Amino acid sequence: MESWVIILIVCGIYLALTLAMGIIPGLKVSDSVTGFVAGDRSMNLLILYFVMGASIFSSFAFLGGPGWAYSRGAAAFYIIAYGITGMIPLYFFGPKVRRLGEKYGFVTQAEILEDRFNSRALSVILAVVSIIVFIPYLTLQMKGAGFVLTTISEGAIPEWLGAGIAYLVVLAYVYFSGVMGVGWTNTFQGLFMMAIAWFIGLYLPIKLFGGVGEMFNQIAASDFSAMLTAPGLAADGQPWDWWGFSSAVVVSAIGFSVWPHFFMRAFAANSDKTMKLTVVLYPTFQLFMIPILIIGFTAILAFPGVEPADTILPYVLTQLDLPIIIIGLVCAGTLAASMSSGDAILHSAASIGVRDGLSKFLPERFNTDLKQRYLIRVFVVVISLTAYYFAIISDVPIVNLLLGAYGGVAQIFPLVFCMFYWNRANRAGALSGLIGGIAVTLLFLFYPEWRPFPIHEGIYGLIVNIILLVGVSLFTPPESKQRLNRYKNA
Amino acid sequence: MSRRKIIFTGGLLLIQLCLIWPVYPLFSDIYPLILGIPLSFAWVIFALLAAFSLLLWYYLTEPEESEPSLNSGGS
Repeated sequence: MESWVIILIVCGIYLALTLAMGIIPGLKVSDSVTGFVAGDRSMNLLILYFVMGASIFSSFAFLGGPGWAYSRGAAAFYIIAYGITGMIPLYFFGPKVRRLGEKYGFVTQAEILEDRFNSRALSVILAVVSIIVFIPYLTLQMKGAGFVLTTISEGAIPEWLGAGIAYLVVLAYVYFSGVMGVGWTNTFQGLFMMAIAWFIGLYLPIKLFGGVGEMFNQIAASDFSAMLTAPGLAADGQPWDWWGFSSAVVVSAIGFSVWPHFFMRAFAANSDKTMKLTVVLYPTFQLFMIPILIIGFTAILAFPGVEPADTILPYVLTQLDLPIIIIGLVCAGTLAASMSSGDAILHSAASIGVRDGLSKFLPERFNTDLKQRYLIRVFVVVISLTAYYFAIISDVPIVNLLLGAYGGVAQIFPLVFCMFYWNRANRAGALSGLIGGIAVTLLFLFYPEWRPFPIHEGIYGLIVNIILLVGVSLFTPPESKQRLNRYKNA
Repeated sequence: MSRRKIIFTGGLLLIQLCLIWPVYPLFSDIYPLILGIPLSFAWVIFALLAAFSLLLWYYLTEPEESEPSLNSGGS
């Protein structure tokens, strides 16, 4: 039997297991929007830990992480650095958000912000922004899955088929089980990708250099030694400056906890303790980025000159005399990374699109719980097809939209913070802060030469955002006492 | 703000500073290798472990009756 057939069988077994793990939990949740979107608020520590961890670590981590270490050296530490403090705000927001959700029936981030700031427009803006960010994000995951299956099958499985098969499985369990499908599959996928990452991240340097220390010693003694000095290289191969590195870390850390698909899992937690412990334990998940980056460093000396850098992991796999079953498992691990983020994004995009966008324009009779659940499922299919179109058929480089995503998402943070900790913040302040912040971020994203200092565009957005949020709020009347008390005492 | 919260907030700010300019540049070199890992990499792992320890300590010392909010006044 040809080796790629064995690899595909391993991936096939993985996909079948994932499908089963995704469908079965759906039998247990209620037939309601809360069941579909927030899993009847019943997620325990194990599930929530893996949902949060595996949603964040996507095919970007599995393919892009080694790619960054390989091409930009120490710049890749940024990927670990921003998550270190980025998750911590959820320790404080999460339990409050969860309790308010339970009391008032919120299941998305925009719903709770809409209520606090008394603004339907805010909800619609957040829905539009989320969809604009999520579709390219999902497209990227699909491309990753298609790319892996095509590479390992030596072209026998074209990308359209590879991405199609992997995401048909995702579509099936998200459609059927909602967030509980995401939860159980992410637990399985998370464990799987962690095990694979640690194994391959330690195996490669030992096989090629005799150990991790020896590998770094040899890089340090070579012409590539500058790559190990922080902050490494920028995307153009020139040394990255501390302004750029530091501001990217800060913006990404601020945006981290308010990514809508991440934030809304607080509504699914079964208790405050679960929510807090998930945040406390999150670094234990994040540790798996260490072997992921080591994979990239290993290839610097062993396989120089591979382009594009993101293909380094599959490239290394095809170059080494590894047991076929291992290659199959690594490929399945990469699929797991792609799918465990893709499913969370798909589920959130559909839920947000309906709850925060479409339902605001529908007449009452279309807004029953049952009809909303039905609409969310329709959105799951429509969003999958749209992302698939951009991943496979269209040449429009919409993935470029993701470049500005972190700077844009970070603009939600001041609103979330003020929701609980600044009573004076009101609708006018929140709307002007968010719109102003996003506008400035986009302006400097598209015209970087206009920036006064070479720092991340999101920082400029945040400065304008906070000035507008505070200034406009102080010059306009506050929200009602009754509304504010709900949040103050949350 | 209680002492516990001041320590936590101070620790958090310190860890954040360790990951950006001006503190990270002090530890951005390759040498010394720590357990075979360059200092620049080991430093980030150290910050990760420090953040984990800080939050774990904060969680374990949380007063039972008080809600864990920044404005609840602590113990």
